[in-house]
Amino acid sequence: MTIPAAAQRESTEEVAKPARRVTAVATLVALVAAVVMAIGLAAWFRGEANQLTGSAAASNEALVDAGATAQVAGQVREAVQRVFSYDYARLDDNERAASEVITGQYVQSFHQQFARVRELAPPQQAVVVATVPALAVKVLDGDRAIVLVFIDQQAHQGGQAKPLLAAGRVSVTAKRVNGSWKIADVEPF
Amino acid sequence: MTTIATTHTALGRPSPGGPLRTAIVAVAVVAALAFAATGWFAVSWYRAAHGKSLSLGMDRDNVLRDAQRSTLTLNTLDYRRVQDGLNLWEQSAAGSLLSQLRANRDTYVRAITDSTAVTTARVLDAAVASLNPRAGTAQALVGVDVTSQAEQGDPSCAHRRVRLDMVRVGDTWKVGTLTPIGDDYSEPGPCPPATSPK
Repeated sequence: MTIPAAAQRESTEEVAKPARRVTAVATLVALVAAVVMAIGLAAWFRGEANQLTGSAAASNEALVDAGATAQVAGQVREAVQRVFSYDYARLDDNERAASEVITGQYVQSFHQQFARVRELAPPQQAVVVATVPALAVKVLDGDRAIVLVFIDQQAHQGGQAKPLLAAGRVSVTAKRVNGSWKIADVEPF
Repeated sequence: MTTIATTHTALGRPSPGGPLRTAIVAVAVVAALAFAATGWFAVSWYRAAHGKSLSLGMDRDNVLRDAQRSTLTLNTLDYRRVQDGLNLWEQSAAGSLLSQLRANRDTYVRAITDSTAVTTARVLDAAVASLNPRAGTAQALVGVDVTSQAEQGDPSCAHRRVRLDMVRVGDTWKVGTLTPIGDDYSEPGPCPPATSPK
């Protein structure tokens, strides 16, 4: 019993060493393969997730954030009506009121346009009332918004019974300054 | 007994493949980290794909795209191919606009043929004003310029403002009603060409 047992032991050890080695190498190979696979999958999932969250559809909050969209729409409507309305008898008030709802590069262009109104409105006794029959927030991204605005202007002139009507389409860029939305650019299209 | 004892000792011995074992442990740790990362990104992908805000944003952009496309179609017509044109109109329409087009088709065919006009449209800008994905309804505003050229006579350009009530039909949005906002502002000559595409 003892002799065969010893012989057996010898052989087991001889065989066990390479066999365990093979198992270990196989484990290592399998683990490396698993790492490669996992990294590949992680990269793919990450790419898909980033593509979705980084897409234009995701960064534009217009209509997605209903409350913020309504706020932009309401304030831009009010600002547009204020900026595009004037009364020849109250031009100082009009210009001051409009100044409160404009910002950035539009400040200068508004005052340039209003200088023209100051020349033309008094001799014509012009009273212009602007209304917004429809508007839609196209882009809302943080403190910046782009709003498509349909604008109607009704111009009453001294001595003329019938008002003149002008229909316009403008793209308004709005910026949020201290919590309120102001007109930063107006582009007719 | 001896055999078992020896085997146990052999198993417990750290020596066979010492560096190999270290490597296995190290790679196992890396694998665990890699799988954790995979899980993390799988969850963020799922959340991005199934989030309410993303699907709303995608619906909005689909409405915008289909509103622009429908506006082009519904303002484009060639009196020489009036049937084809009206077929395209009907494909862009749903609900009451579609019924109206079908009911008055013969009248339209006669009027368009008699006008000998070819119209081409260009959408200058558009935006979605409201969206109800559950009901499958939306409103879009579109500014479109339409050049109209009759067989005899000079071209003219109409600057139009329209509000579209959009209805979801399958996976596209079609025009349920088309409402002009105010009168067209028309001027002689073809519409100006595109300056800056939007």
